[in-house]
Amino acid sequence: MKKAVLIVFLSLIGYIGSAQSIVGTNGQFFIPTAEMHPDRTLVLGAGYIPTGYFQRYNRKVNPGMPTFVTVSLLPFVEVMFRYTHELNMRVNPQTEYYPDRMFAGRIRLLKESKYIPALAVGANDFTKALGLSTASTNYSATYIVGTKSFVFNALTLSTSLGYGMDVLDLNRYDFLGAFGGVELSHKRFASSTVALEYDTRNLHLSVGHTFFDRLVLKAGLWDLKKPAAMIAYKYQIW
Amino acid sequence: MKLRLAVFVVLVQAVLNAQNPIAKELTAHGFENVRVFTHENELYIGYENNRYRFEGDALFEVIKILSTAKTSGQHSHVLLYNTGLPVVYFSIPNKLIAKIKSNALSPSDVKQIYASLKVDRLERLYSEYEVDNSSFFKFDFQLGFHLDYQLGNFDNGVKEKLYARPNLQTVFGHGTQLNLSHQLVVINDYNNQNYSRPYMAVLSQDYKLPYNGFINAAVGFFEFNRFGYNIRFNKLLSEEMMHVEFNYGMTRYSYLDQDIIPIYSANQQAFYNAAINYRWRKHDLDIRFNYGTFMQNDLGYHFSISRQFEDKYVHLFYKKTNFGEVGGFGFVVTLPQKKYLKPTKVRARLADDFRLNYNYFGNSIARSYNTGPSLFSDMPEYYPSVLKKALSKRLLLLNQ
Repeated sequence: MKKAVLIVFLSLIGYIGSAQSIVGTNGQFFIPTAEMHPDRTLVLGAGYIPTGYFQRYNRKVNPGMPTFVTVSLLPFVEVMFRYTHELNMRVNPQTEYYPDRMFAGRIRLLKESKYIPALAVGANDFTKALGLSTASTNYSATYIVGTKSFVFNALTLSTSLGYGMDVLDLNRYDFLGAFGGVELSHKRFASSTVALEYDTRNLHLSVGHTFFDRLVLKAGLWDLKKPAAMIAYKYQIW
Repeated sequence: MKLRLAVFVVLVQAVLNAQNPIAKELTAHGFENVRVFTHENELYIGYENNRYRFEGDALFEVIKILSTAKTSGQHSHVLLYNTGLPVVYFSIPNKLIAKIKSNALSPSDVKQIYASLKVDRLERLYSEYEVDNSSFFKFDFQLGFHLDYQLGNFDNGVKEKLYARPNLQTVFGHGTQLNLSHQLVVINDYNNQNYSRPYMAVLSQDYKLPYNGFINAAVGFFEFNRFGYNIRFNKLLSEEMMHVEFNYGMTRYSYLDQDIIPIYSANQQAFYNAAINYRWRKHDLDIRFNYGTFMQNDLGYHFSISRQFEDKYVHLFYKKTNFGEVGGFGFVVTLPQKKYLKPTKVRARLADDFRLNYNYFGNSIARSYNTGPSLFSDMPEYYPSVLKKALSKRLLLLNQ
């Protein structure tokens, strides 16, 4: 009976990996990767970043919750819009608090092949650099990242290495310097992943699973200390 | 004598059309303006879909019906209509139809389907035959929704006003339609205007010109409290790959209040603009540039990139006029009813979609009022590249 339940469960789970970052773009737990969702994919989701690591302006007193909508506008172009909420803050005239908004875009320059890694460039909060918005620059980033997968028998190891640069001359960047990570999945549990990554400041360990090809859940330890999580719903628009 | 003979020929054609099993089947499915005939030993079908929300679903049903019929010659031909006007033509090899029947279809087979927006010559042939189940003088009650909202006020982070918008649509003749809509306030913490009132009342006429020219002329109460007339000319170039648009409107501020009494300002205002649109057909992506004067008499341009996903859309926009600049994104999502009731004299259904725009920065400028449905605004669903992809997807799923 247990075996039958397991077979049914495994047949229900999807085949798209859980390559969805906690902050909205395609990625591991926090860092972006060069992978792209399939064309026409729409993702709606929310993440939880623990106290002490979530920063809004110069404050680090509350946890943060990015809520995002991401669309694969073309097979090689991803656009993401995000509201970043500082939890425990009320929107009222006294606090003058309002969640931060941000646009992000990514373009895949190279598709992964047998010997060539996938290569993507991305910019978070680029509208600020264009003078089109006045939002907080806490989550700004401009980066280039490569991703290559290796298959060892039943195991797939996906490695990413990127570099974030100060090219938009904003106040603060999420990824400033070299970042990278590895993500591991097993053929029998292709929808589940285990990942370890370095985001230029902290090290994160996470596990993820995609249910029914649609619902992505991720949980991990931020800086290997505090719990963080993400839930997202993926849908391929027709 | 000649008149009697002509009436007799038309009656005979109508009877033959109605007796045709494919015509019967199409009519039974709720398709309208149905024509089925044989010409030079090949089968020709014409229909208009007001049953399925998406034209791709309708065409798929028609092909399924066609696959059950006996065909002759090399190809079968299908011409799609909208408000009684021809829009797109499909030529389907009968070999492919045989493969659909025997569940042996492959992706390369589907590529053999020919589709084109050049329908002038065919329309001359089709117009010799009478239609079955006319779409004219039928009354469609559609229920749609609209949301106004404001974000970012510290007193109330999200202010919203949700309207229900029942709409009556009827087509009187080839391209002639009347749209009457009312708006009812359902939820409101946006402003203190809680009354319901007529929203739009528009009589419009679409003309399909030779070589894919389109004219839409509309008169009445338009969106955003504008009353007057509006004329739009569109021309498709290289099928749907490119089109140009010229738009002229003469309106004044006016609307019908809750007692249906017109409120108006005497000042008339003309606005005119032109647009060029390039479509990347592989990805159904439109890149559009629009320049001219807009509804508030502001002069400037509107640039947008829009991706079509069958009957859903996502777009990014940037507008700049002498009033300022605005940028953001928007989407059109479908309401959850893929198939409506069969069109009868009176029918109730949900509207096709729900639309929402989000201004990431700036205020509402470079605005245009909606003048109601038109043939050209419906065209993206009829584009050969869109319908061929939709058909291919459905046929291959059917044959799996």
